[in-house]
Amino acid sequence: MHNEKDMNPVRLYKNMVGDYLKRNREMRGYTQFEVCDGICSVSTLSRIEAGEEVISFPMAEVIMSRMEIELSECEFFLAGEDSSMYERREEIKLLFEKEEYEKAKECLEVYWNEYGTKDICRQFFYFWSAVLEERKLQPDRKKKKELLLKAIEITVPDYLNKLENKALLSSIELECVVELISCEEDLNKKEQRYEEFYTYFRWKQSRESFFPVAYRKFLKYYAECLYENKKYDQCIRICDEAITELYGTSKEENRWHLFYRRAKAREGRGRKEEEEKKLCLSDLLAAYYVSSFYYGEEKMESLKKYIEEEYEWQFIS
Amino acid sequence: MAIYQLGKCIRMMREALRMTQEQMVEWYTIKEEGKYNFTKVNMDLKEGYKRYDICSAQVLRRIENDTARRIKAEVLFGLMEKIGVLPEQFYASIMADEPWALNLKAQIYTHMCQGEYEKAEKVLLKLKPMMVPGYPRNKQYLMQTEAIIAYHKKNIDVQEYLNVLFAALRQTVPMLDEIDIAEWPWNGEEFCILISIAYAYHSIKDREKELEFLLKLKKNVERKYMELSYYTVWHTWILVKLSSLMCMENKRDKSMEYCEVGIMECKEFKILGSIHYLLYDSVWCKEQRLREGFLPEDRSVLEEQESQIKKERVFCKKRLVHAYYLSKVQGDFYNTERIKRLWEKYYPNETKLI
Repeated sequence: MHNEKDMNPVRLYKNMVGDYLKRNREMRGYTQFEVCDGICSVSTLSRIEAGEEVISFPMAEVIMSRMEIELSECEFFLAGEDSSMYERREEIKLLFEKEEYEKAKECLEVYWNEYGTKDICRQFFYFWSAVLEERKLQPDRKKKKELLLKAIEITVPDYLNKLENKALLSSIELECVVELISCEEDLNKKEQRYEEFYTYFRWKQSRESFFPVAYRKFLKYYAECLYENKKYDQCIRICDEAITELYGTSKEENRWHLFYRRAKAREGRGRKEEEEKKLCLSDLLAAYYVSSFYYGEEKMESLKKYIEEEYEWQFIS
Repeated sequence: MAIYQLGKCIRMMREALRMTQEQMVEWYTIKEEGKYNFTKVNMDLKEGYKRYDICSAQVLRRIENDTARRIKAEVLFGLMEKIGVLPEQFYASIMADEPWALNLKAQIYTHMCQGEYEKAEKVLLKLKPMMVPGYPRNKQYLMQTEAIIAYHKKNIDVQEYLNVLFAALRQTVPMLDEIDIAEWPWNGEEFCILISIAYAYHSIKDREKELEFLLKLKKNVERKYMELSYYTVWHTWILVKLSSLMCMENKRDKSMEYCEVGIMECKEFKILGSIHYLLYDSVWCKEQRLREGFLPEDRSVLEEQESQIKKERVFCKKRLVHAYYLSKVQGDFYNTERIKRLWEKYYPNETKLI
């Protein structure tokens, strides 16, 4: 229960983040250890919660993410090193979105030089270096996996065990796991690992948690894996779920690919009904028009040709 | 998570209140020395008052330029107290006793977006007891949400609605009447209230006030004091409203100008959101112009013009098809149908949109 003392402005100001973390942790029934394991010591978190130690923004972000606090509902005013670090990270993410990989690589190197001594920052560096490797024309899968392992082992060295035991993981930790599973070469093993991960997310859903970006990414990869294993009905179901999850989000997030995948899965199951064909065409057109809008018509020329030939569709010219 | 650069926001607030840096750091108090641990500078400048300085003007300069390595809590607290805002460097949109309070807040938002105000009200009744009393941001949220529901259920008129919205803003910006809306660094919740105010002017067809207000918001957002994702969403929303207003005023060139800026930004930052509104408006304006085009007597010029009209029409069709699928993939089925109707109106002989 809250009283006037809790609303004391000076006390509030000096202990805002700590107080907020403690209150949310206790409301959700988590121990300090569960929330901070691998990020900081329990005694450090105690001091932070008591307002005796200042928490850095990256650390606060990761802890809040582990506690499934809806980050879009929080606002931070950053200053000093926190502010410059945040700006650097956002610059890197934007360069990846714009596919300016050479510049992204340069920025990552600067980021490493400036902040590489901090664990949370090294995790960020290794993760995005792995993404950079993935985006190369000829990615080195082994190198990608090594970088992802370096990233995840900074805060969750026993991540498989943690997943089995339904431990708390932050958004970036979950993304690392998703990417690691995607590196698995054995398709059946990959599917099994995705299925286990799906169970983990279902458990989170039962706790009325908000789902991070990692979940949407996971669903896309899972759909791909099911398609590769020719499990078309399941693939369609996962695509349906991913598309619905994306409703109401403001960024494109490569969702065009889900419509494409769903269409291909429908084609794969070989039903001849007119309705099925119409659904395939509708999804392929959605995929084409969304992707060509954001990524250019030239890049999607092969998809356009495919639709014209397979469905005898006439595009506007 | 909404991230703001503290120094930038403090500068904006100071300038909005027309204070110099020297004025900003001055502090007069009748209270006992040492209560806020500020540096004592001068004595007895006013009867019963002592002047302190929160920090030196040089330190404030470093804070505003984001070159200060470390900022003392007392200094920040003093500066925010001087400005008159809540002394918070971090906050959640609402402070509640239950972890699923934010889920309920999200449900209320979804219901209101879908026009289900009765349902929103029921969920609000569940949320209210969970909220910590005495916290200004909670009060602000409740005032705004209750007012939106009451207005849409026609329990209050627009003037009362606007009064409550402005009063809600004053919970966190008490000096609202002294500042220019275009100059203040608004947070996410405050910006939602500003959006509601714009909608209120729109609903009573007060186009002059709506335009004035939207232009102030545009000027404000273009100062880019918020993180990129917020900037693009807010900026696009404002451009959609301005474009729509310009269409209603038959100022098609202006409308298309707003549309093109918004479309370019959405493409650059891969934003879905309101893109289909901008595409729709740009097609509507262009088609209106095409249909009102004049034909010169000189034949060669006529042929050129017809060729140009054909090209423009193809451009419009492509844009409208893009709008259709962009609205479809984000589940905006209301607008998907709206776009379909426009397609069938303008291009009845073309293949139907599926």
